Amino acid sequence: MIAFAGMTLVTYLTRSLFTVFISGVRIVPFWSRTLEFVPLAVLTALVAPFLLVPDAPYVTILNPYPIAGIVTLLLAHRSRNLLVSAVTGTALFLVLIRIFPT
Amino acid sequence: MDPNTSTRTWQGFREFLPVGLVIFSYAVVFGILAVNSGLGILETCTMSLTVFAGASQFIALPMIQSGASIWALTAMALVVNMRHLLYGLNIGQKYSKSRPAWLLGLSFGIVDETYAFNTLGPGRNLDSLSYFMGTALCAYVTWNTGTFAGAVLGKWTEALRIEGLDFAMLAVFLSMIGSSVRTRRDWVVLALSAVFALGIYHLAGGYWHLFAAGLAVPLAAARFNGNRTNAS
Repeated sequence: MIAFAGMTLVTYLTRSLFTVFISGVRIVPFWSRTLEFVPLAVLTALVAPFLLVPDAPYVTILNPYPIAGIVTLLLAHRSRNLLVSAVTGTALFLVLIRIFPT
Repeated sequence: MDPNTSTRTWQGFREFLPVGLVIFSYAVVFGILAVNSGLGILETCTMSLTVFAGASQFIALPMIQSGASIWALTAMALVVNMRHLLYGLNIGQKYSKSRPAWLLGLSFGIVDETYAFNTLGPGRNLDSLSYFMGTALCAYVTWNTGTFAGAVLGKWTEALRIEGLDFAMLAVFLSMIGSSVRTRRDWVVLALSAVFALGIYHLAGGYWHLFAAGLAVPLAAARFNGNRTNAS
C-alpha cells in the first residue's frame, strides 16, 4: 500500500504544477497561440501509435485499426456528435476484425 | 465561480457519462488484472482512489508482481504521467480566473479523458470550473466503481476479455479530435502531429513523442499562422 504513495505524489505533482503556476502568469500572444494548438497536437500524438503501429498480429498494414480509426475521425468531423462517431466506429471495428486475416 | 455551481457540475457529470462508461469498462479490466497479479481487493481499490491514472496503474501491475521497489514505481509513474505537465498548461490558462486553491483541487481530476473532453470535446467552449469538476467527478466515480467491480469479479474469474474495448477508448479520443477540427490548418496540425509522433515513437519509444509532437507542432503552427479559433 505504501508503495502507492510515491506514485500518487508524483502523479499529482505533474497535474498541479503548471495548472496552478500558469494561471497566475500573463503570457504573450505568441505563447497563448501556441498553447491553443497543444490539445489537438498532443492528443493526436497520443492515439497515432495505437492506430498505426498496432500490436495486434495483422498481416497487412491496412488492418482494422487505421481503417476504423480514420472512419471514426471523419465521422466525428461531419456529425460533431461524440456518441454517434464513437459507437459507429467501434461497431465497424468489430466487423472488420472478423474480416481481416490475422 | 459561476452562480449555479451544482447545476454546472451536474451538467458536466451528465455530459461526460458516455466517456465514463468506457472508463468503467477499462476499470473493470484493471480490477481483474490487479487481483490476478496478487493484489488484494482493498489494495486494488486504494490504488485507483489515490493514483487515479490508468496507464501508470496498468504498468505498475507486472512491476509489483516482480517485486519492484517504491522508488522504481515512483520513477515509472513520473515518466508515464509527465504528459500531464502539458495538459496543465492548457487547463491553467483556461481556468485562470479561478482561485489557486480551486485549481489545486481541480488538478487531481486532470486525466487524458477529462483534458480531451474540456479542450477538444463538448466542454471546449465552457470555461466553467464547476463543469470541469463535474466531468472529473464522473471520471473518478466510474474509474473507482469499475475497479471495485473488476477486483471482486477477478477473485473468481481468471481473465475477462471484452472485445473491441481497446478500440472503443481510441474511438472516444478520435471523436473528440475529429469534432474539434475546423480549418485546413487544423488538418495540417493533425497530420504533422501524427507523422512526427510516429517518427519519434519509432526512434525513442516510451512517451517522448507526446512532448516532441505536442510542443514542436503547436510552436510551428503559431509561428507560421495566426489564432486558431479566429482562423478561416
